[in-house]
Amino acid sequence: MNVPFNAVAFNTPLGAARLPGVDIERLSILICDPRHTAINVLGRTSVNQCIRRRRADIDLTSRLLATDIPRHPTAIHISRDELSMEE
Amino acid sequence: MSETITADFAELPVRRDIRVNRGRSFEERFTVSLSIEDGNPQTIDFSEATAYEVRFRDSEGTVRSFDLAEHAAAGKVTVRLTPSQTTTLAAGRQEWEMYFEFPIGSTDFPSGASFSLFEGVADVHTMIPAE
Repeated sequence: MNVPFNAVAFNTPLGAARLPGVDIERLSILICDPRHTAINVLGRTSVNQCIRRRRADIDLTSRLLATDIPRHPTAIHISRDELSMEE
Repeated sequence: MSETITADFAELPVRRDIRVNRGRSFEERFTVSLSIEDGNPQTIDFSEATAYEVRFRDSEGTVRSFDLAEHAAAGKVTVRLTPSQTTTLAAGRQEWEMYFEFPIGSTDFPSGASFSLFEGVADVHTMIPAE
């Protein structure tokens, strides 16, 4: 399985998937499906990081949807305030 | 009494033909608002625009642009050309448009926007001089 350098897939062979020095919560892409067996290799802390990251991603997506949907303009109204004026 | 034009935002620009006399000033003022679906119209905050200009293109393809004199909150936009500015325009029929850009995160266009409010023909006229 090809894994982007900034992604970790927890269901791949874990020795290859875990990148030394990587802060899981700062990854820009996270393919994350922590399985029970991952805890044995990664440890409880890393799995908890992964779970928090997933929740953060979901919250971010929800906020983006919430801010984008109500602002779609549909009509524009133009009132001319003054007639053109010449000196 | 002012005229009000209502158009679908997706179908901008609104067609508008104007006449400009070379060597004379030209001014038009507008109040512009948006309504979302059937909501009440809300004026656009043009103070957040990062580009706000009128553009003229003559038959030779030469483009001249002038910043708007006013681009303010409460939907206020004013194009005001001085006599010296109108003198720079070639006489004859030109294309013109009023163009705006809003950045990402702006109040009325959170995703950013660039659009022309008006486009049409500008009849640039040279006045007959006094004897």
